Amino acid sequence: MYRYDEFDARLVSERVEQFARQIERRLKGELSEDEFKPLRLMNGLYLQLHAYMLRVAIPYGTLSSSQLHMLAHVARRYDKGYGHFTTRQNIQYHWPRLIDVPEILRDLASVQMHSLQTSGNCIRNVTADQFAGAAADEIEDPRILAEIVRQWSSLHPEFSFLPRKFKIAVSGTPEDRAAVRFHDIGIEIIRSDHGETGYRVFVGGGMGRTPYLGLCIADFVAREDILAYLEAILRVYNMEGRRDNIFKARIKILVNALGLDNMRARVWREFEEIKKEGSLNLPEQERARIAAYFAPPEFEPLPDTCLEFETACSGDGDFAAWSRHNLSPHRAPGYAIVTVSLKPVGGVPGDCSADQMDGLVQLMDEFGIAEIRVTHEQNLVLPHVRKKDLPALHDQLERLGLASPNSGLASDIICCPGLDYCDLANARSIPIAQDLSRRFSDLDRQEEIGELKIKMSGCINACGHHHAGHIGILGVDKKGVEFYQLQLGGSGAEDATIAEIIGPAFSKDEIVDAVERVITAYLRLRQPGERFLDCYRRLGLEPFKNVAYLEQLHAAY
Amino acid sequence: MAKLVEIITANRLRDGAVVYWNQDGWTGTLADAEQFSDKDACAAALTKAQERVKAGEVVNPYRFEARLDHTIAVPVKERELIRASGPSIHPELGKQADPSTAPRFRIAAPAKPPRPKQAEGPEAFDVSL
Repeated sequence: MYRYDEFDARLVSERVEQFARQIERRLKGELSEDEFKPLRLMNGLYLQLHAYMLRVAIPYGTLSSSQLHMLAHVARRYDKGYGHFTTRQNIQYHWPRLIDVPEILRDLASVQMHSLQTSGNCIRNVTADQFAGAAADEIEDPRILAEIVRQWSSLHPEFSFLPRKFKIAVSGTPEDRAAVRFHDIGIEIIRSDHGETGYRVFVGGGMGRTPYLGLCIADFVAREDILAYLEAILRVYNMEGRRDNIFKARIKILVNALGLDNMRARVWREFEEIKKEGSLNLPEQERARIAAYFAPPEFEPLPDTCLEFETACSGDGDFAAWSRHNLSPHRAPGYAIVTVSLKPVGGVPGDCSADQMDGLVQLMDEFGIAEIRVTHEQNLVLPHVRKKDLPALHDQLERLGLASPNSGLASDIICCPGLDYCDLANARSIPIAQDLSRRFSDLDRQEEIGELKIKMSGCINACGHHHAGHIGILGVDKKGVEFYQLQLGGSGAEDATIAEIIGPAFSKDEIVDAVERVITAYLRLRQPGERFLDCYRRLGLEPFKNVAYLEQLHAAY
Repeated sequence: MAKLVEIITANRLRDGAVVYWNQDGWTGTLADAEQFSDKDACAAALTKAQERVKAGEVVNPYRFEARLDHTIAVPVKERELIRASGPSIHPELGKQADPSTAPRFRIAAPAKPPRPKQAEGPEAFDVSL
């Protein structure tokens, strides 16, 4: 993985000391809260309901074991013994004290981590496919470009005060695990008919109160041109994006106001100007230097079939169930990709205790796994695991409470912190996710339902990606009381769509039953092999809507 | 109908903890907060509380409504119920975990969702604190 050079290390440590001085001045009263707030936000420090919240960047979701160990240390020493992995592949601590933040940031810097650009109107942490470097169908490791974009965008003077925040995601496979079309810029690595690797660029995607799918602004951008092209998009946005209305300030609004052709023409003009200057070419030599950091580990020459593994899979025990759902094909024979679910039945999606983190560190050391990934679905991934190690690894995950066999199933729910923590939230989201996870805890039932993405947010900002849920739930506030809107038919994958709202919101006592009625209707209506999403697309909203409101209809008559 | 009162709250600067105005200072316990039934008195106290922002004690003081259940103030809005208690999903964390700061009310548990006959699995989750 990428290692800081002297410039990175100096930049981070100087920034930590600068922020430490700013905190000191705030505590002494030399800075007012109005002056301090933008400074703390630029360092990922929010003030929420019960305490401050520190959001730590995990670039493209990749962590070394020593970094994960440090995250555990921070959770244990400065917080309340746990952290929360987010839909942007970051980690949030929900209880740090302001007076401890300088020490936390110094500790993080010692393992090349920071909280820069995890908040504010700048280019945020770049996200990428969690299977990077391991997926069987990958064209190129997306982290190479993600790291190049990280370096280009870090403290970029022109783009430090954009109209609004800006999120970029990169996928290196035709299968989209990074939700690229829901980002301000989504980049898909592709190969041209001539065998040349380049980038398809989508612009103007996003969730929030006005969800849009990103539109394809460039079918193919050559490798050496990508930074110039990204700079051109950002420049048009920075100049023309609205600053008068926070709700209309994201690039998605600009793209849809201008129209795609107009936006493309403006970006092209800027791109040509930048190219003329010639300063933003990405030399192949530099790309290759970065790429070397992401070279895959040396895989042992192994047969793809492994007797020990196959035998364990053929049983009907916990391992067999886990292997059915939490393993994905690896490009190297004899290896598998492991998804470590952070969605135990009744648990808090994305939460991980310090002891679990350290348990994972030990397990990584024992099985020779150098990296762990954070997914935007709030799980973790061990990217390169020998199949022969899987039974033993599963035993250890079980001991850590991290062996839920539910990846991609009904209880693998994305959920934002909601009103239990968040200052912006209108309703609690975690208790509903917990209730759903318990309602669908039976694995046979989940397997009968098949792939189902339930995503839940506690407010319109959509941190829980409800617009992209096969079933999306949005918490709303009606006169101080929590209600929940049900949305159906969304997808964050390569078949991206925005979920449709089915009608009036449900009370917190009704929403889980409504979801269950929708799922039961799907089981009745589906054709062989049809996922919930496929069935919904074939039949439309009506049959599901009718059944969701069934109880109210009965009550009305 | 229960009597409505107003209470002033803020977050403490040094650690972000939720605090409530009481006479001339701050308390970490809602039960010890000053209850205002007079809007002008509350506005005057809020002005004093705002002075404490400049002094570096707290951030963002504001007032909220609570219903009086005998002498116990129960916030009207869910947000303030949760701020006074802690995360509803973690009864072991926040003010609710410490008898000296725990509120003297409980967030009402929603009715347990009725379980359809065909459903299997453990009992429905109870979100009470």
